[in-house]
Amino acid sequence: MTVNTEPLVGRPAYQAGVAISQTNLPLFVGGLTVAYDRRPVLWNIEYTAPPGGVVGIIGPNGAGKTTFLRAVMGLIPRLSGQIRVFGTDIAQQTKRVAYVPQRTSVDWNFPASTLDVVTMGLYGRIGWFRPVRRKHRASAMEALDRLGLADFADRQIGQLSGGQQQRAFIARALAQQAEIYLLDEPLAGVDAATENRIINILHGLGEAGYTVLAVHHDLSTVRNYFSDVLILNGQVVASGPTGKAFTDLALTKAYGGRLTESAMAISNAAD
Amino acid sequence: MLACVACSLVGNFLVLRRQSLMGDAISHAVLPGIVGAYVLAGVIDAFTMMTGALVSALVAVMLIELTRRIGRLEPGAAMGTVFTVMFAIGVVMLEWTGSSNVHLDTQHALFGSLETIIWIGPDGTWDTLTDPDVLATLPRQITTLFVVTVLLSFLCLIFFKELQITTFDPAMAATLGISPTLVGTGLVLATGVAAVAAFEAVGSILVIAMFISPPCTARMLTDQLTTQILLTALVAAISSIIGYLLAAFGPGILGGQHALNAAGMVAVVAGAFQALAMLFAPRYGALRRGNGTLIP
Amino acid sequence: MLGASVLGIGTGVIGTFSVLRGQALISDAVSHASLPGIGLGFLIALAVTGDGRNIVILVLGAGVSGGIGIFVVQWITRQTRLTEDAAIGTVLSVFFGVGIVLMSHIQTLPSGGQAGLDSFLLGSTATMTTGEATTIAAATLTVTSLAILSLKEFAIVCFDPEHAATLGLSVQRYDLFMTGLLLAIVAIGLKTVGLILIIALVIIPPVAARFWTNRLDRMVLVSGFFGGLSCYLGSAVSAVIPHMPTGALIVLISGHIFMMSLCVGTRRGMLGHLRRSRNFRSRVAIRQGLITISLGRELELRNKRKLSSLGYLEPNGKLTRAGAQKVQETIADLELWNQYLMDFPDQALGTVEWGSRPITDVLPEDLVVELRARLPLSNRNSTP
Repeated sequence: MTVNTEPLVGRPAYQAGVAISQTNLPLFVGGLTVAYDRRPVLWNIEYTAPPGGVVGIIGPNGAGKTTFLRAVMGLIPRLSGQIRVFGTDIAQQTKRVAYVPQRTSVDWNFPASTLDVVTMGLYGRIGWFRPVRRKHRASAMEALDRLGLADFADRQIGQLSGGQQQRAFIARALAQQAEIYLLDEPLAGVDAATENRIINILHGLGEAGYTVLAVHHDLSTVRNYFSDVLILNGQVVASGPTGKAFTDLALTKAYGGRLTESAMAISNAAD
Repeated sequence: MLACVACSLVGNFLVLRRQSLMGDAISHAVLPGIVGAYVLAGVIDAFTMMTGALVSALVAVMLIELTRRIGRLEPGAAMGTVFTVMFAIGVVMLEWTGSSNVHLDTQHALFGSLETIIWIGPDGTWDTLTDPDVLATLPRQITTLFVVTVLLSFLCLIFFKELQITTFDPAMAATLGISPTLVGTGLVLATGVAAVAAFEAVGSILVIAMFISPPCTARMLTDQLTTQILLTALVAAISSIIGYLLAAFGPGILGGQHALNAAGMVAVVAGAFQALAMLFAPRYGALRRGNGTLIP
Repeated sequence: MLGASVLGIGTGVIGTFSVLRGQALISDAVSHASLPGIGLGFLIALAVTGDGRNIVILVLGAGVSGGIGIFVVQWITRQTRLTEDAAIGTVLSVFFGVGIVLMSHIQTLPSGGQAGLDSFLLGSTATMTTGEATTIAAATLTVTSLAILSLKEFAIVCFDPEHAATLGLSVQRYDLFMTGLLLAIVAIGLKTVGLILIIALVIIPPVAARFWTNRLDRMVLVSGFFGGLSCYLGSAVSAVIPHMPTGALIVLISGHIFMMSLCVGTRRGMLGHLRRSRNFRSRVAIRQGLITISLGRELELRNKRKLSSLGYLEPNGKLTRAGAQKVQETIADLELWNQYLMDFPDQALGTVEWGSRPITDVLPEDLVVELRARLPLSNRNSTP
């Protein structure tokens, strides 16, 4: 964080030029602090997501990556800070944001078929008291098809492989037809082919002008996969276009002593 | 039988939410509400008891949440604390007010008294069931149960979508604007209603058998939520009929003199079904999976 | 009455382990599952001795069927797709059903004498003979002292099973031992507090004790004390007021202890919790406000109010001298926190209220000096 050492006395506490509420940016996070048990997990997060782009959220374990997504979605209370989606409070914009939780966060034994799960993406649109209709199933089927899962529509979700489950989750997000996509480790535990497939879908969304944020672990692929990065370690270490923000300095700052030598070597090689 | 169906419908979602014991907790915790309502109103009618029970179910849920959050306890401990205390309050109220002499008494609260509702003893005949005179004087519990069963089935149908998604992926549901807390509370209230309705017939403990056993049985047999719910209702209905018949006629056949407790027998039969399902279910039965022996 | 108090202490002590091990509701399954054992025990005692109310046989019966109950719960959890809660629910209700069927059979026996059995449901000390009381007290003492003797091992197994395994302790064996003790104490306590409310005695005292201490040995003590106190008072009250079920009274009293602990407990009590988290919130708000100012951003309204009330802002929204100084201090402090976060990430993220308090209040002096020395040169002049 840069320190402003110029004399502060008499300076107005806010300046009109940076009135964030006026902007129309897809996602703005200002002064976000989240704590569990009085232990801050995220401190003073300032972040503005670019319109149209695939952002990789990286950082060591416990750096608050998942917490960041959950706090943005309003799933956990925030101590302070504001989240704005297209200039208004996120609470009024939930339909424009799709969230894909970690695959391990749900019970895959749940009695539901792949199609059922994807259809759930539409429940927000269907609304209370209204049943699921054929057209809803059809559009869920379309989303499944985009991820190459059409043949598995009737399978019980527990019988899908890890990669297929992940794709089902992404299909569910696509079915939501949102404008911002927040994905928690969409590439965790999937095979190489699935990884490619998912990344292509995400790039497609980015090129279509949507904003995609994905938590990612593998530092070696960051440069190939993401146009932008957000490096977290309790605070924002760096953010911006991958070329500028994904530097050794930033990584050292984020991972400190935890960056393993092999990971270092990878990031060096990528330079 | 209606009681079983009503409870098992709700039970489906409890089991899937890993909240089976919520059924246990709620069915115990409604006791003070029921007794309180009885004391205040002075009559036993379905509506007052329902209200009382719902109030105490809500109180119980709030206390459980409070204990869990503030004390940072695991849910089991929080539940165990709250429901036992509430049950104790209920028992003391019951003894204190002397209502035990009237209609509610501890024994019945615990074991249920299916027999007092319709009793076809060993010497009874099937005629009683078809005799219009008897049907005309059907006890009010039956009416209550009927209404509750229909109501709960209706609710399950309407809120199927919401129940499904909040159970499967609460975080996702919340981002879609379907509040898991709201749906969860609704489910607890439904649990309360079912528990009270069944309470008079089967007692507060066997209600749990109805909540949990049939859904567990169905869980072993299918992977489709709709199939599971239908199957559950079927299992519940069958086990209640068999259980009832066994209790009423079984001893006679075996040469005994007296009928056994019907509610208990129903639970036993439900348990037997579940045991069969757990062992022999085509895909998930312990004996069919081939990854283990009977003895762990 | 004394017997009851001893029992309370015993359940309190043993309950501590099962609550900490996350198995609070196992006792629920055990106690309900013991009913068929009581019924069978009665029938056996009747056949052998002619009188069904032999407390030793009844308690043994309860123990055996409770044990089978636990076994079935574990089997279901391990061997089928059903979860533990469902397993517990099934076992308790089905076993209880079996028990009730047996009971209704016993009630119809010509010998009758089921009066003593009723007390197993809701508990009664009034009908207890001196002999029975002594038996119960002695059995409880044995079980409890066994538990206390293995306190050290239990502590390791509860908190860090993997570490325990590396020390050569068999986690499985201790788990089994713990469950066995639980089983024993439940079976013994049935007669006094009844089978439904024995659960309360196993769960509530440890849960209440949790609000007072974070240390296992103290928790065991406090929990045992709470258990003993509830039982003593409960049975005293029930002796005074006739027709009141002892078990229910005991649980009511322990419920009061629990409520009090919840509110005013020193460690995790509600009041302390609320006070601490309010203070924390307010500190975060102030800091956040100061940071926002240093970035030249628009303040959130509530932060603005907060800062004004502290005299950091003039009514027209400009910074006062005190405010400006505070901003600089905060930024300098955050620099140090950042350095700490970079150099010791794991420790930093695990520190209570990191970044939200002056670093000198939280970390030892020499560490702060070292961190200051590590700051990049360009920032060092900003530190006071």
